[in-house]
Amino acid sequence: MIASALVVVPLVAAILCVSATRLARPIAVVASLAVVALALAALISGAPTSASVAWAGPLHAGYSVAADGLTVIFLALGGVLFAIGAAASSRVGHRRAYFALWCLLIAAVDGVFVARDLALFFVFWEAMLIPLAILMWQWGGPDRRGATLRFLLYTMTGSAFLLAAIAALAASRGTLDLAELASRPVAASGQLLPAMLLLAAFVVKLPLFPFHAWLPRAYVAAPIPVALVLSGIVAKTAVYGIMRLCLGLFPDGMATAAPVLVALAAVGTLYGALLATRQDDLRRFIAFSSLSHLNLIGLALFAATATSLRGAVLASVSHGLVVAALFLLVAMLASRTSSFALSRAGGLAASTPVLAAFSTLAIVAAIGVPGTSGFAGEFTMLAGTFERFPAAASVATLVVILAAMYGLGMLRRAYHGPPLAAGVDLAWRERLLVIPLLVLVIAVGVVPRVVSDRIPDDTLPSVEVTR
Amino acid sequence: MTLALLVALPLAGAVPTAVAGGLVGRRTVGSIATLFIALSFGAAVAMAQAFAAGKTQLVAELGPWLPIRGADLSLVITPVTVPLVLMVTGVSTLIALYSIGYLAHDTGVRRYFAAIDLFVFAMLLIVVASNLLLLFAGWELVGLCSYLLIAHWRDRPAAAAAGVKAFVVNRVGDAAFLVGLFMFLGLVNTVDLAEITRRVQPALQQLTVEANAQLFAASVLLLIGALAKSAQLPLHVWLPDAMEGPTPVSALIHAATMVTAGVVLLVRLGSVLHPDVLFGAAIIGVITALFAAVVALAQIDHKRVLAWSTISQIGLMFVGAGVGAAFAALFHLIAHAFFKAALFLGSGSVMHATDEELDIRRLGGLARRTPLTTIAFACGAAGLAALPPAAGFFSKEAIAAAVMDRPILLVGVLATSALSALYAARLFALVFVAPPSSDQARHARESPPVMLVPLLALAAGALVFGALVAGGTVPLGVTPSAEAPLALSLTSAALALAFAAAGLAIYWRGPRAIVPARVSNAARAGFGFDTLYLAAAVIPVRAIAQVLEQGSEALVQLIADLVGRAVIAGSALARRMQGGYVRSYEALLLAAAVALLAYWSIR
Repeated sequence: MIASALVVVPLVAAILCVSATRLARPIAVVASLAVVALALAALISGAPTSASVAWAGPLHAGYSVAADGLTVIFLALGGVLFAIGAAASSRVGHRRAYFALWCLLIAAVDGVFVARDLALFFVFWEAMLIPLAILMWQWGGPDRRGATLRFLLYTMTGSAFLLAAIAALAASRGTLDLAELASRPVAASGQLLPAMLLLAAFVVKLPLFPFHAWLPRAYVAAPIPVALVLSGIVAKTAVYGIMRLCLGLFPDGMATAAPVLVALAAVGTLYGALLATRQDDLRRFIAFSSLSHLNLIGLALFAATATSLRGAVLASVSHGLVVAALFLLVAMLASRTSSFALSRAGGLAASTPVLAAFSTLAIVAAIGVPGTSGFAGEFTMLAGTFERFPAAASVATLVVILAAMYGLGMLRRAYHGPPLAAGVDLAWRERLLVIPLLVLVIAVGVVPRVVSDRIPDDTLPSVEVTR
Repeated sequence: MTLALLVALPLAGAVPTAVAGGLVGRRTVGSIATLFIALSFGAAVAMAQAFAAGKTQLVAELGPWLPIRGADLSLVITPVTVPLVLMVTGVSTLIALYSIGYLAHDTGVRRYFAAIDLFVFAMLLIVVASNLLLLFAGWELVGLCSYLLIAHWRDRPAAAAAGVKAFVVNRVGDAAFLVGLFMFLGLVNTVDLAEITRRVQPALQQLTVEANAQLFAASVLLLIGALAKSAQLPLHVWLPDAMEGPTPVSALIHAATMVTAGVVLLVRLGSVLHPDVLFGAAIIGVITALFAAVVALAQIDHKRVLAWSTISQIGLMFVGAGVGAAFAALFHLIAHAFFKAALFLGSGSVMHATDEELDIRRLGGLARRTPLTTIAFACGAAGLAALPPAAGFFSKEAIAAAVMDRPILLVGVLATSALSALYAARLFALVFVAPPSSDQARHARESPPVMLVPLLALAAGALVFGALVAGGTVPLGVTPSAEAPLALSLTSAALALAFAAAGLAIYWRGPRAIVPARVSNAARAGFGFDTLYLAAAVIPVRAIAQVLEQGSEALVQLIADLVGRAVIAGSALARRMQGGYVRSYEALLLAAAVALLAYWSIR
């Protein structure tokens, strides 16, 4: 029941948004928070969440949804980010359309996380693109058309492989239900191809180096709230997909490809961090630092030890919270200097100490200082990856040096030195957007087990026994 | 409970200071922050009494932390770490108190005191964490606080640059530390220190060749972490620049506590680390000690003299820890905390008195103008110079006694001691005795009591602490491994006295050049390590990033464009295929069927 409600509630909210101009934003915020509440209710009540209806028999597709611990973690993260993103969308035109699309995006993302049938998963996976593309195309910055097209082309190319894999599975296994597929696994020798076809969609969406060409342009062109959810939660559908589908259905195929994938991810981790040191546009800075973080998550996923997967989930939550805070703070900085260029800022700490303090905390979390969620995720991922790929993990660990360079370098250029720019400090309305994120960042950093203990055992490899 | 309070109190002080510090006055903020550290000191004293009454260990388990074996939030304190905890909280209280006066006119006192409280919390974690991961958390957090406090004066570009440099160089060590930690996890599948010690120690005798190599590699990596944190060669370059921060910060973080964390690590892990690596730490320590002492001799900025002196003195501690003389290392660590903190606070008092004058060639004659600062500084300098009966005399003697059977190390330690006496005397003579050489020096005024009281307290410690330990009044939790023979005591006393006297005599009447300018300039610049790293690390990394951005990133974007064009071209082709001709549909159908059949038959 609850799993279905997680999709239906935002759909209803979308309809309400269309009919109420004034209340569109509050409706979107409430719908997002309702998702958080429903997800947590599903977790705490322990009541069965699943629903299953046979549908489209010849296609072997069915309506099957459920919400287990893994789903709930991502849904709760998504709900928080959608709520804050909606609250931050204060000055948009065509409010009804914007917030209706926003709620449709929530519904689609929720659907990806609750779907327990591959055809249904694909439907929601593609459905995410429509509101996302329109939001970027219509409300984005100067490069919005080109960036949206490239994003669409890239992700749909990946989706084509996903569709091919689903079709092949439907034909050969006679079912698309995840539980049934998992109970009758494909022979180890035949897993590589379907695993890679599924993975194609996910490595583009994540994105894994070098499939990231859409990323910097999309981050710059999208409106800030959309970029926030694009990076914060939409990218995490790929993390979820790799865990649930690739590793869940084809662990042997993934293990065969792991050496190559791990190498790419380790390179991508350093690559993103190196490029982040050179960015002047703060949104591109976030783009490349995100690329670095997401590739580190990829590394942990491909290493696929119980510890590295726990780390990947923690890091997904952490990255979502931190990148959201960074996007908001960067937008607040830009509203004071009238530019996203670092070279137009400088010495801002003198006039905006609270903005400087919040930015420092967000960067400290981004570069993985202990006590923040960033460390909890990063350390667990690297320690877990080291169990199976010590060389790749050691190389990827160098990112802590590069992260310090780009993170503190950015703070130094924007906030330290003689004041070149000035502005009014954060208003309470602005502070209230960021504070919940920063509080969660610290909370997850201090008690990460609240998150990682919710990951169901059946989504982790069973051979290893870690405590 | 007391143990949890000890650590939690400074953290509890940091939060209200940061969040609500704006609601009260500047002085109140400082007082509240200081109070929390003082309460933590109270908890430390209470625990010290419990240990004096016969306790051997206190444990606090606060719950799980990361999903890794042994990575819990749990603390442990043993007789070895009790004196460290007392020193950290005690010295921090005094320096926080001093800061109230020193930063009386600073607008950033809130974040300053929040960072100081957070720092004390993190430093205590390093000392009492019961597993390597929690220790690493403290390890990184002290680095963060160091960054925040070095860059405290945010309008100064040099301060911001120094803060970033300190953090990045520390992170080089942290990256090594992390990989070392992963290797330990691989070896024993836990990060719990007691369990690691239990399982690695007996294993040392009968390790397989492979495990031995792993232990060696893991130990090297942890040592690199210790070198970075403790500013030892070749990762010492951040510490002299760190002097851009407020002087109390230099006293607390960059002299008394954080930079000695590497020594704490070596002592706490002494029985786990590979013995060859541990001895390597002693070798690096003695080289660093000599090198930095020479550089200190050439400095003209009084804070930088002290910074290089710190690097040198920590080198001596590494010698002690490296040869397994935990007593000597800890003794010198705590003695150094007293005399170096006194010297730095003295330096701060000099700056306060002279409009922030740092150049010792423009000072002089302060003995008349600021008598109390002079007395305190003299006590600190006596400690540094190891003049009997000041603290440094006994602690350096302990280190020398520990390396009696290793002549090269012994010569290095004694030579470093002699040079320390020389530069300590030079510094004292030029700042306080030589004729004043600027208006600031001539019109210096003594600091307020809130600064003088902690300064004099530390100076008293610098004077008597050594005798108290050597006399057995203050126990250090570990027993000395070697008793110093009388000949050694006499030699080191004579060396210290002779070089201190020489230093005073040479510089009594003002600055003098005793070596060619080219030599002293090279020494003053630290013999070019900064230039070397700029050329060998910083510029290459920047170049790689640039090449990547203009090369591969452009390529990735270009390929994306090409893919886009290919899709458009392909769709034009597809449009032609959808021309309505049944024969083309059939051909496509056939091709697809063949391809699918091929795929399923191959499987």
